[in-house]
Amino acid sequence: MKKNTVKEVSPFWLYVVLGTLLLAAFLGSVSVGALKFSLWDALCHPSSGFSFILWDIRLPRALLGLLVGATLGLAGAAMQGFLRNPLAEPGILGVTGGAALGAVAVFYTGLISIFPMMLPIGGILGAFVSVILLYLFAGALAGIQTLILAGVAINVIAFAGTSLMLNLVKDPYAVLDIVFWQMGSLADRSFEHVFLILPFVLAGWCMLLWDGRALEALSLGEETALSLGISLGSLRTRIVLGAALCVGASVAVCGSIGFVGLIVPHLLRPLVGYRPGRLLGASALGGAVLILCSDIAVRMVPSLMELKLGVVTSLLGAPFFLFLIFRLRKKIL
Amino acid sequence: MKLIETEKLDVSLDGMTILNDVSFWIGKGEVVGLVGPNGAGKSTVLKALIGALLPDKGTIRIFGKPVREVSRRTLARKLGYLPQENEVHWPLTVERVVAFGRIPYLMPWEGLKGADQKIIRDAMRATDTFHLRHRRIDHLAGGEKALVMIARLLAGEPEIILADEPVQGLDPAHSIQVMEFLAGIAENGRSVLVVLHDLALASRFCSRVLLLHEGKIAASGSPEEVFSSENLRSSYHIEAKYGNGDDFYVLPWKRI
Repeated sequence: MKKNTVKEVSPFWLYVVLGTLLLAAFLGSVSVGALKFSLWDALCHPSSGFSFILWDIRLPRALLGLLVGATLGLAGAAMQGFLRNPLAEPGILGVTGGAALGAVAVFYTGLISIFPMMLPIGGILGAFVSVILLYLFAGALAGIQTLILAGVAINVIAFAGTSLMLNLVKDPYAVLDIVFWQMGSLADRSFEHVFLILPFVLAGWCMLLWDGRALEALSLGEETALSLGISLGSLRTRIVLGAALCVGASVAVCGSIGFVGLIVPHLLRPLVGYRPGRLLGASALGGAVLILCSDIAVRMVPSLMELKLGVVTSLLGAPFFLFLIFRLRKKIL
Repeated sequence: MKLIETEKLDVSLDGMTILNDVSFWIGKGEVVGLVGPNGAGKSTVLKALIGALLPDKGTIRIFGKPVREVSRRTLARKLGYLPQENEVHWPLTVERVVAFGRIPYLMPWEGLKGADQKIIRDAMRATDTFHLRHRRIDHLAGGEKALVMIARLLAGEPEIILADEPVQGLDPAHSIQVMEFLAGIAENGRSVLVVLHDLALASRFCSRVLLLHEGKIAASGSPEEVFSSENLRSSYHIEAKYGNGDDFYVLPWKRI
């Protein structure tokens, strides 16, 4: 028999559970690594090597995991609500591709060896160029389909550009660097990276979180949303720019980490009664939990080389995608 | 009192003229039917009124004020719009959909207050949908869904209701029920502009009818005046049978 009713989990308890999971995952992330020591020891002996590892290596890594995970979860939920498509993901409008191309250009031109922080800066610039292209291709008043098509075009152009640079690069080590970077990782990042992306990420979050109610209105269609007082032009600008700011900055620092922005909103949607507005905050917390847990797994799985975070999230995401297909098939049958 | 007034409205889409020199008004407490053949521009009139389409020429006045001078939020509180397709993109509960009617009254960070909750419950009770409040909207039958959408309109407490074919796909009983609700809303001092294809329903429930043909107002007045055999012949290319006892009605009969 079809399930006719929707059981929403109380938002208070949902946030308590997700917040507790996030705290546990964060503590787990700063506790796990090649060297085993207790957090207490590191905190009590500020001049020890353990303290250095905790503050300068693990803490920025965990903070970046939190920022990037929350960004991907939030931007995924916002894109799915805005495009009213459960298969939309944060990079659908070309931001991820643009940021990746910008970062790869920094590798290719050798700027990275002169000034390492050019890598995230290049990524952020790439994300902005992709937004400008999106508006040039689709126009200021574009409908959803035109936006998605323009996003596909930008992603194709960005992929072609990335491939071209990989093809032309002479230094084989640079090729390896680019390929590994593209797989996505939180390893070897510092507080410099955290502070570099923090303003972009926070600005992007604010823009996306502001739109919860507008996304709810949009679930009744564009014209009804308009009649409920929602300005569709401003909403589109905030969603596109907000996603570009936070996703672009995240990709610029951590590479492409797939599927988080797709899976997390999907898993949490029934718990928030399918409300696109309430899904935003929940997905941000859920995304941060998933990235932090995946990053713990990356460090705990015994392998010769540390697995890349993007590889782990893709390994989790692929079966989930198959599960979605099977569920859809069952519905049709 | 004229709640809505349009003057010499021209609207075009992709260079094609859809509305040409359309002038009409709607008074307080009226149920005005907007009828006309497919492609006459009926939905375009409603879309222009809510601001989804910008007119090339002409003016729209809401409560005597040019619509450009009315803020989007104020307009949203005054006008309630029911689109042709009752689309809901997520499997939300009935209660949630009805609650969306309160959006024009809330700031982005505000939640529903006690007074809002009461208005939402009253809207569901008035439309006999309270018992469905926990049901998924996508699992409702057509008639139930149409009533939920009217509850959503009522929750917004609009003074003018613009309904685009609200009885589309409904059986006669539900069609009459929906029209009775709209007529009841008008009796409470609000106004209703309703797009209808069913001329019998239009003749039964509308105090005034506007006949749109090829983007122009071909006739306006009481149902008796507008549904004359000449008007139906020239606009719809049909002949109709009429009931002329205590209640006037028109029954489309054959094509010519």
